[in-house]
Amino acid sequence: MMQRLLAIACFLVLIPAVPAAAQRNETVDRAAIHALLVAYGSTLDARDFEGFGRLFGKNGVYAAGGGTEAKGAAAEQMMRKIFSANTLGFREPNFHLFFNEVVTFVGPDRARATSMSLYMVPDEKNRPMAALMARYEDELVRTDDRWTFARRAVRSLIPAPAAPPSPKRP
Amino acid sequence: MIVRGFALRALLFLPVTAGFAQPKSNAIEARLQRVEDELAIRRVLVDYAAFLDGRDYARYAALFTTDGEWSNATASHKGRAAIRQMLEGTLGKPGAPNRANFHIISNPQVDLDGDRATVTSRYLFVMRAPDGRPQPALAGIYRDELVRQAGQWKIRRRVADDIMPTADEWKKIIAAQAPKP
Repeated sequence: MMQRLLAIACFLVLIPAVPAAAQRNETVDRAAIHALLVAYGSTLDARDFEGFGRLFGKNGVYAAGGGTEAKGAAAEQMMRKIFSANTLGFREPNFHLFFNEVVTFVGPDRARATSMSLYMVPDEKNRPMAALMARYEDELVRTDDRWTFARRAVRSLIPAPAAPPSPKRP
Repeated sequence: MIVRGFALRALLFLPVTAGFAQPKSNAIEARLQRVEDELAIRRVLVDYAAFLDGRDYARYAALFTTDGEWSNATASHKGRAAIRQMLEGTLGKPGAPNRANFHIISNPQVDLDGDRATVTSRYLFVMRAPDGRPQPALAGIYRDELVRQAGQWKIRRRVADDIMPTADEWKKIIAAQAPKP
């Protein structure tokens, strides 16, 4: 009898507490991760490269495509150079437009996300024109109660990356 | 037996004491409330575009507080009646079918402070081109102040900041498109 009562008491303690808390934490974390994904664009659009670098924490890797990678604070310097060089000749102002955000959790402090963006630039009449379309593949980590990118890989969709050279025939 | 009896009493009392032990600032209810507020505010941003594109001026105006203000670089309209008048003057009669243009709202950033919030979001106004394709025509940032009134989030102030093209350029484009007498 005592054992059954003990089991019921354990059930009463654990069942209401654990699942509800887990769901609620996930909801809060989703909001924080959304803010991180949007901050990626708002810092770049404002040319706040220092703020951009902080999104990667100390060890986060930013893989910008084409084999270009930077880790932690180096992401800040890499983006300064990319925007300064402006090799594609984009007019200003320009901005990121984000959509199709999907976040999945792989643990209490780790998550994965995919999302897409259009990079909007002014055309010759200063109308907004989509210049680039990209997909982001993210690994996210919570450190010191803050979500950061553990790894962000940018995959260019439009224009499509150049196809690798076809193997030479013997 | 004595030990088990003690353990049972301890477990039965645990949920009650655990509830009191939570620090108030980190209480899960408070965190959940913040998320619910953010979701409700994001819904306001989407409703704004839906009511505007659907020419539902009454519901559009009701998204603002009674003394709410809509402004951009060239004009300001304060109060629901003035806001509604602005729409009728710019877009015509309410309820008219609209297949000519729509708004995409993106990048919402919500900063909550109790019953107040400051919010920014991006807008992309897409128009039907002469050949029928969707043509991005105007892009900018909404900068909002919202307040919670009677449990609902309302816009106290919205500033539409046209960026691409600028407000002056957009004014000329619209003037050029207006039917000539």
